[in-house]
Amino acid sequence: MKGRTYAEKRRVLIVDDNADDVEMLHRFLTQEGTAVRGVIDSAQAERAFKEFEPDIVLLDLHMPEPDGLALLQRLRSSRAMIGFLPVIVLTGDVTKTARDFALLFGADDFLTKPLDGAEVQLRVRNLLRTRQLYLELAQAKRALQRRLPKGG
Amino acid sequence: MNRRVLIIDDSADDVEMLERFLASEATAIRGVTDSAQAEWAFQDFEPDVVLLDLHMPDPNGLEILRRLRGPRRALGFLPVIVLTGDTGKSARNSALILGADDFLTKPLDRHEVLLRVRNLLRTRQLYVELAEANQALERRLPQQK
Repeated sequence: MKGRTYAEKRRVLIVDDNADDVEMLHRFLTQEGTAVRGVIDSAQAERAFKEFEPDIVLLDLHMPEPDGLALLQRLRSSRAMIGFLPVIVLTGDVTKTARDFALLFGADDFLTKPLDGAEVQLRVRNLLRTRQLYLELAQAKRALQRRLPKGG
Repeated sequence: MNRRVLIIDDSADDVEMLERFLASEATAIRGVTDSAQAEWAFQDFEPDVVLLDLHMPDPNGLEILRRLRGPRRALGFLPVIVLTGDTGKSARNSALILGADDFLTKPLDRHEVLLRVRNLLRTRQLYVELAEANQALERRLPQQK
């Protein structure tokens, strides 16, 4: 992922054991300049994360093991290494505990089911914009490093 | 790392409560109850995150979001959390369209306020660190002829 440039397609990874929700999110988010991958078996989520190199992850909380909170924990170090890699948690659970745990494990945002198409698009757009700002700086950094004299 | 928090809310009680909630997290906090002073305070205080109430006498939160758009863009990533008792879809989506990064619904919950502010400050920090690293690299470049 080190070499990713911001000119490439934005990649959205959806992890949700409900195939209907994945399909609906897919529909909300598929547009020009975006590639979407859906994963319904949460055990495949980590592998998909490494392989697909998403720019944003939409993660359902309530799934058979590993559930969303476990995945947030497992993805923590990979996300930290990447810099800014936003995760939006999807949940029908609006209780304070679920929300606070997800925030504690580094969720950037929440979408409460039933999902609203406009809200999904806006929240994803805003977080992708932040991700893009970050990628632009990272790319500028690589360009600067190449211009530095050797050993300098 | 600076963690400067600007609070814009016409309710002095809410400003006071947020100041209390964030006392341990922020390196500096400024509260503004007169929304007409918001833009000036933004320029003067140079916050790392803004907490902005939606429902205020003119200019209201959406109007301030609109006015801060240009200045925020010039700064790179400068997160705004919208505070609202209004959980309606239209208020929420309007704020998102205008670039809000997050929401806090009143009545405010201390733990949630802390966690959301902390997460956005962390993202801001990642951004600022990278920007500063780039500036340091630029200084090390040989002078262009």
